[in-house]
Amino acid sequence: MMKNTVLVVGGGPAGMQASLVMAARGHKVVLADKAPAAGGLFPLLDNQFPTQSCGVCFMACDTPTYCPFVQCDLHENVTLLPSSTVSNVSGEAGDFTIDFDLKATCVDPDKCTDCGACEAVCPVEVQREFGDGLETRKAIYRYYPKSVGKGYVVDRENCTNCGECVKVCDPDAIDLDARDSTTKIDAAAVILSPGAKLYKAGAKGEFGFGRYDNVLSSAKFERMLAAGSPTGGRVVRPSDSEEAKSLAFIQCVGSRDPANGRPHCSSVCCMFALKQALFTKKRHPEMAVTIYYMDLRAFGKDYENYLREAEKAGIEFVRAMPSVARLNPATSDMLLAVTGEDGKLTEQTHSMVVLASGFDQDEDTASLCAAFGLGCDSGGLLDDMEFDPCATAVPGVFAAGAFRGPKDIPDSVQEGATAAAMAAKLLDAGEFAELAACPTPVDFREEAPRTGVVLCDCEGYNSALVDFDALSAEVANIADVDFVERCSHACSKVGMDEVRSIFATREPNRLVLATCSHHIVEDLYKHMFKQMGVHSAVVDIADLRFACRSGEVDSAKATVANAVTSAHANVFSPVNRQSAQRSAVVIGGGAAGMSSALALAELGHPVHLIEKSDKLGGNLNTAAYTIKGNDPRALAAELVEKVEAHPEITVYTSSRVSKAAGRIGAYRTTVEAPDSVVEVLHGATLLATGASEAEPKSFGYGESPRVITQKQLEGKLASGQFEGGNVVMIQCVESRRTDEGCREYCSRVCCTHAVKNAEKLLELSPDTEITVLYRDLRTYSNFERNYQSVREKGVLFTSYTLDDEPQVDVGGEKIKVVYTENSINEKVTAEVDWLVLSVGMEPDVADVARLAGLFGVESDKAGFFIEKNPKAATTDFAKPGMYVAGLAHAPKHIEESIVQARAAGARLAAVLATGEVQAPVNPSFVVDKICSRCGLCVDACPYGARELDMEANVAVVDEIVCRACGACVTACPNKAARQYGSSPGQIMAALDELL
Amino acid sequence: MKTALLQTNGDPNGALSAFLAGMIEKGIVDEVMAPAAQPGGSASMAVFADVTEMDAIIPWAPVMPVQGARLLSRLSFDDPGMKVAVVLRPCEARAAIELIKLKQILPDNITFVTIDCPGTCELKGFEESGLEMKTESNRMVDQMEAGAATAADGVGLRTACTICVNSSAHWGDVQLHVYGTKGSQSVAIAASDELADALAGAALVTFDAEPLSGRDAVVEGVNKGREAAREKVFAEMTEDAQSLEGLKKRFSTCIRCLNCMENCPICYCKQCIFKSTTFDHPGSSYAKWAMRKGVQKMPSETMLFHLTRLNHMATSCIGCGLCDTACPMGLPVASLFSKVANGVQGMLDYKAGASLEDPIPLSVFREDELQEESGAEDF
Amino acid sequence: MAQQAVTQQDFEPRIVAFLCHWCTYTGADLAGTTRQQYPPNIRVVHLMCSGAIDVVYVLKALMDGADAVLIGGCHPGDCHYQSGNYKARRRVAILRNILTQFGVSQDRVWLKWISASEGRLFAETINEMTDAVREMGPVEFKLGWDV
Repeated sequence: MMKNTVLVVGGGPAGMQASLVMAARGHKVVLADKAPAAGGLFPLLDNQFPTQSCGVCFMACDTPTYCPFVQCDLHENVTLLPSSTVSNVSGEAGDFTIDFDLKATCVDPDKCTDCGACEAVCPVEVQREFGDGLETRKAIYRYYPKSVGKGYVVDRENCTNCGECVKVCDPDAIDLDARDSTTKIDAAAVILSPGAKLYKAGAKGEFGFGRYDNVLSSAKFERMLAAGSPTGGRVVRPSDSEEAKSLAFIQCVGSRDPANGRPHCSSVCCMFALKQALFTKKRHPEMAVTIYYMDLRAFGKDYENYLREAEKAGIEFVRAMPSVARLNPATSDMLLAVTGEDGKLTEQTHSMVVLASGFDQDEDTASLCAAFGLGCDSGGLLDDMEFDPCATAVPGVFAAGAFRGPKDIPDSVQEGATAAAMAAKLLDAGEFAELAACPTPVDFREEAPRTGVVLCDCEGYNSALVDFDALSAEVANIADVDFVERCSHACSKVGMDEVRSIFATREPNRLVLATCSHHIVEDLYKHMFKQMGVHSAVVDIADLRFACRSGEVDSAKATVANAVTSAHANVFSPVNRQSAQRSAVVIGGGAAGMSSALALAELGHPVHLIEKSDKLGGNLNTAAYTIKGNDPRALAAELVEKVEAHPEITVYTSSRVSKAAGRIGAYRTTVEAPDSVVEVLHGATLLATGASEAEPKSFGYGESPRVITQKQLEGKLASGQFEGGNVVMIQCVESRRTDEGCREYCSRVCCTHAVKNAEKLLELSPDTEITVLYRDLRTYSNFERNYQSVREKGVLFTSYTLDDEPQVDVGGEKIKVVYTENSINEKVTAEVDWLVLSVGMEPDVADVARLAGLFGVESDKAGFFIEKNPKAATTDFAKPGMYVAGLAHAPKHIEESIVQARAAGARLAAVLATGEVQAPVNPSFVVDKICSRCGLCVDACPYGARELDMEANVAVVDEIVCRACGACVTACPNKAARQYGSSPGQIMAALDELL
Repeated sequence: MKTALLQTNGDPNGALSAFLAGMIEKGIVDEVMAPAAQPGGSASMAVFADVTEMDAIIPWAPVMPVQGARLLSRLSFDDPGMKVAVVLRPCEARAAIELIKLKQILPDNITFVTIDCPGTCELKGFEESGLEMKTESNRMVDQMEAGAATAADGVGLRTACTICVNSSAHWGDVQLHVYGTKGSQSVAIAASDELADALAGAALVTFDAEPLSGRDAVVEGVNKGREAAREKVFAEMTEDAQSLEGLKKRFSTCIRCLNCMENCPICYCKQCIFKSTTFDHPGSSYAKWAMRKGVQKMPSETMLFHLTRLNHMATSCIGCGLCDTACPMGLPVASLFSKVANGVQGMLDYKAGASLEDPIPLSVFREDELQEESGAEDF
Repeated sequence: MAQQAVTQQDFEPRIVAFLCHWCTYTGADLAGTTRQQYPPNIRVVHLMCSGAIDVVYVLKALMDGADAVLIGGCHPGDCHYQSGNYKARRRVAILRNILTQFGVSQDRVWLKWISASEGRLFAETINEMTDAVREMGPVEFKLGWDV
């Protein structure tokens, strides 16, 4: 039996990513979700932080593509299984059988045309779950108001079976008597990515969500901010629809709340509150916006800058946790009881309050876990494997996303790819049967154009709007049209067969399909013609359905004539398919480099692993233990052993890359090893050059041996060389500040390291007095539990600000630290034996810039590489075939580095899976004779597909790298830069048909 | 920069041509490209290798038949293979800066010699005046001690020069300063440290002078007067362009000869798209357009040409005004175009020709910009 | 139709829309499939990216029949080709600036960010634009054949 199917349960960012990676590698994917549509929480978000945009489309392994919702729906290797829950699991790794209960949606998606007539007549109106009840919906409704594909379902709990919808449904798609059913899926591996739900804000009764109109949950407020919301994205009070005068966010509602059974930090609420606050300020500059918080956990890449933007935008930050909200009935304002850091209780008035309710797990997830023999609590999956992330206790079952613990989208996406890489090992090689079978296309380039038109009636939709006979006659009269045929449903299998036979009998070499949108038809037909061995550019789409909506034959004809004119003038590009090297160069032999090398090698890709020092392992070699109690040096040993033993991996130590050229599928990189210089041919490159703990320059470091860094403390504690004594730790040393010589960014890991070392100190000597001076304590996700635990054990935590930094005197026998103790608001002096500095991480800026130059990628001023998209593509560069992982991308924990490394490996492997690379159908080219070599096209190309040939005095294009966006053509003033399929004359003539 | 004073003995143009010849003789450069009197009359740019011919050079020639940057682009589009000193007026230097950024001039082997410019007269008018070129030029240079130079009565400066606010040398390896000094006595040569050392080493000049103390004030005075003139011309153009109708009235005699494009230093395309087959429509198209619109003007697409050209060059237009010179119908092309360019460059916070560092506006973008101007406000 | 026959009363604006494949074109399609109401005055040119919009085509459209041009692209940060929409924004800003200086209203050229899910916004934009252009009257280039 072929073992080529993977089951993915949960279609949020992690599940979609896992599905897209697997599908791209030629595996079959069943993507199940308990909701009627895939997407998870994602469709709630109009914009993301810190990009202030969506950007989810970059999740695909190779771009451009549609957004993953559409892509998962369109991909021939992905089968969606909506409204499904797992009822039973049997079998084992390599051979699972999973039983599903399928909830009847009562709407046949194959028949439904999404016309919405049913929704209009449905008399039932209930609160819409999506957006936490900000608006209402009918009993027959689209699950997401903005879902892209077909999305109507019946909510049978609220449906009264009145049958009105059935009466108005033209295509007869509704069956209110539909029964729930079951199905069985056989899969070789399973990826669990059920995500997390949002904490029910109403459960924290003291804030009055559900009782007071003007108290909103974060989900409800997020929906309000969406452009498509009932308020059109304006911030108005539900009580009176008036613009709010002042808005308050209360953080940590249902998070960091052990008494409430939610000890975890939800990791994302600080950032989404900042985002919501920033959008509020942008749209309502006059509105006062206050955020009540305990710690601002802006720990991700570039998040610190985002926080600075929020401060600049005039958002007020109050470090206090309001205890209760009550209503002023006269004004409908909310009164918050706020205890400040000084311990004083005040009451603050705000016209609207948003509760930043975080992540939670529900019973469905618990029962899903149980079905697979796993356990979970509010913070997600139990027994997660730090050094083998995304594996679970059950072989063949992998986990990804917020289900593994609260996390943000970039981490979820990485975990999705990681889980895919791990699952793929259990599957047979992916299949690319169609590709192999595709004959070399006939490309018609020498022939005079013969242009045929197929008019699709869209099953009566178009002819109901315009006179189709008249249209046919008009189209037949268009100059350059050789014949006109009609079909009724071009996007169905029958329709495609019809078109195929029209093509065979009438023998056109230009075919205009006057059908519906490009999205629906284009890929289907391009694929069909490719399989037939015909150049895909033979098809041009005219969006007849769009034009028919005008109700005018004229308009419909103009749209067809536009496509005909363009098709007639079309010059085809020679088909450019080239075999690609499947091998990769990985630069950097630390945790990330070795993990990605192994991931790639295990998926059958040869790897050249290049390390500049004489030893693999990087930071793992000098770390002693992790907060989860594991030994990084043991991990290093294990990874080194595996890497060195793997036949597909060649290791170069004490080596550096001195030259790089080429492109995806065909890079040539020169490696200077101690005794030799080797030129390596490879298909893609992964940069994992790392970063290391910075050396402090302040607080007496270097003046006293008792001023040490966290890493030095860790070393002492692990080796038994710690002499004992009391400790003050200072966080954010030279981090998170814009002063000269400091790091502007947050290094993400230092707070957790401080807590980890405090734990270890107490373990060795429970009486050790430890004081941690911090700015915001950023023990995100389940690290929060460790923080709470050391607090309970007596570690003192006191915050400081940049205006009032701790003062240190290292001159005496003891180290004196003077700081403000917030609980009494007084300066105190601690005399301690050790001062431990948390200094953050720094990459090798010069080497990073050198490599960036060699490979044509970008790095930021701090020396971190700049990824393609900060949310959905954190492992890729914009330049095809270039990848990044680990600390070279941003500071992160070992586990997170491994995840990113495996994810980068998975995405790289997905792109090189077929062993060939291909130019787009209509790549750009250069008319040498009129090229002025000005370089504007080179600047315009986002992919580095163009460069100037200073000998021949022309720009040149690498068609394989080109993505056919047309930016170069626009940049070129005289159109020496061109694109196949759209010469300026062709566009001009086609445009003229529309005027 | 270091400064030297060069004695001119009543003939600044002659003194400078001797200086330039010296640069060849001493092996500092191999050739010199500069404006020069043609043996048969009038002036043109020429590349000199033979020093005995170089007394024809008139750095401050009172005419500019073709934009020097455009000509320099012919010489240095690829490597000329030897070192060439090129004398450029400020507007030519500004165009050269744009063309360097657009890789139409490869500057490596070029020594840029820039001048404080007295302005130029229309070529035809100057020829008809019968004035002796060098004498007239020396006269104009001398005027620059105290302010703007004026052309002879009845000849007048080109409109673009009368509204030029960039007539002082602002960039270049060697700058010839005459604002604030009596050119008939001496000219200040400001050179980059490296070149100054070479020139001094070759005993051509001695760099022992201070920068001209009065120059800035004179330049400021000149600019102030020109600024006012410019405002006036721009206001006139704005008045015309209140409506498209007004503008069309002014430009109704355009014969779509494309000369304005041919003479524009910024229109660097090897073949303008308006001279390409893209605009060779089939005859049926004209007939169809006439049917659709009622009337079709022939030649077609005149306004399309001007507007498209502006979209291509307004960001880099340096206001040299040679489009005026080129226009056979005497249309105020330069006045209108430099006004439009001024508006566009102002919007983009870009000054064409000001510096090699600022990237060409059409090659870059910022993530947060032009929301209102583009009409695309992000919610 | 000869331009002298065009009067305010029977003036029906002709709008040409250049829509990017990934976002606005999809949004336009969604507007249709979700039965959003908008007037029939629009004709669509399908482009892969708003960054591929060349002013010469916009101008050609405005001079040869269109009363206004809509350019639709992905929201900032969402361009499927990384930065095409930012490039388009610069070009459109320059074009509008120049048009204004030629006595042509800059509001003949609209640049809008409309995502694949914003069918409603697409319909609203077409409605708003049709009204605005009807108010403005025929494009300035139509008032006299000598352009």
